Amino acid sequence: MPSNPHKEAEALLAGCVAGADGAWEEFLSRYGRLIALTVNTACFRCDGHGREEKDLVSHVYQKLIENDFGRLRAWRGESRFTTYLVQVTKNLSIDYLRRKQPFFERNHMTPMDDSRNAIQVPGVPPSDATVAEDLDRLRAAIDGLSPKQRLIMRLRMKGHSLREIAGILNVPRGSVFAGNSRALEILRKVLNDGRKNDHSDEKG
Amino acid sequence: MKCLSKEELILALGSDGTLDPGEPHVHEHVAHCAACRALLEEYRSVLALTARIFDEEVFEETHYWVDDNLIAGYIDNNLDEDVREQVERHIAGCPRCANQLSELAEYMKAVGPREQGLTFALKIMRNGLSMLRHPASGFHSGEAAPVLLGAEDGDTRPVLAWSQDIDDLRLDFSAVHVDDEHVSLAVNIYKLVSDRMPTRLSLWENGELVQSECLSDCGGLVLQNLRAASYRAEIEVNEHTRIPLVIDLARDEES
Repeated sequence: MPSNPHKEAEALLAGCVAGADGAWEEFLSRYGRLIALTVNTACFRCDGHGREEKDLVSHVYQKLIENDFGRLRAWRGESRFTTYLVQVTKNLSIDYLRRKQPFFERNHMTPMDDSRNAIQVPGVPPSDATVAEDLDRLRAAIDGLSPKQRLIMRLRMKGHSLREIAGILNVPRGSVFAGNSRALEILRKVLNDGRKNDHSDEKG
Repeated sequence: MKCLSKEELILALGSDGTLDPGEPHVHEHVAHCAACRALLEEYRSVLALTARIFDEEVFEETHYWVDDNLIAGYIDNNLDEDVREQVERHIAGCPRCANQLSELAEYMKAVGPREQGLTFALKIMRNGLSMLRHPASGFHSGEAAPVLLGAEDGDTRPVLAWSQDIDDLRLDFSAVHVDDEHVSLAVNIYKLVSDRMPTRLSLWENGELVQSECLSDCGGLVLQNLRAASYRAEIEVNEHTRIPLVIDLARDEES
């Protein structure tokens, strides 16, 4: 009969905290590879080579064990244990790498492509004042989007595909496609209307 | 020439402002239609400015945020509906939490299903097989009909069947009890989306390659008489993608 992974993880953590024989070894055998893969992913995203790995894995274990396995005990069962473990390991890895590597932020945390900001409507380049007005209008319009539309836009700007976003939000793809289209269209209209008003004011 | 719909145009538009190369009709139309080209540039302008707005957002340290449990619970779709809504509303307006969500999704994609999904532990008992451990998600327990081995003496062997979806692959397993120390394992792998099949399954014991077999045209393979041991396996999908798999076969000491 299939076992319950949730309860298994709880029992294993309780064993680790109580210092039960073999509990930590079992934890390592069950989750060691997941931790190593998460660390490897962080290192790879940082320098593209996965360096720092061994030191970082030791650091993560040390942090997981400290305060009587405090970080692991903080799991409240609102997710699978493995998802929570990836989240905790990811953040521990990022903090560690950020402290060690001054350029980590640029490589890891800034998914925005500089070239994206260079996209402009062809023709006369907009002045700084025009861009500032456009930004103000769009900021207000983004605040007015529904939470889901805003989240779709945020995740898109981080480079996720619409298909991936549907997976993250756990909604049908069609709903993400529609949300994305509506949000973009709303923002386009706000931008265009604002520019037209500015133009007619100038003429007037 | 009929213009593209706005939805068509938006769907083909990447977040970096480029058009999807997989939509050649959009490229072709935009090249010849000034109206659609102008509309496209407006969307591009929106994307560029929106990217800049999100990029320039300042995260205040005094701000509150959702904790690791909630971010992980959101990704797993495991939160109560009202909690999920609150979390979603918060993340939509919080750059720090949106970043956490985005990162966790990327990490789970890199390490998640392949790692967590494929460690199976089976116990061989005198009268059959028992599943000791299975992946946390995507696991389905199947029908376990006994296999008729010897028609003359009516010898039937118990079977344990299960399946697992990994990305666009479905893996069906059935383990047949051979004796107190051996199991035969049948694997069938289907590609759910494209028609390109995985090619090979390899098996290691204590770091030594013990079997490496090509899958049949329909994605099937039978590993005969595996001893009760821990095996590391790998499914080769293509030259870049290999799915690791662990099968732990434990013998019941009392059998």
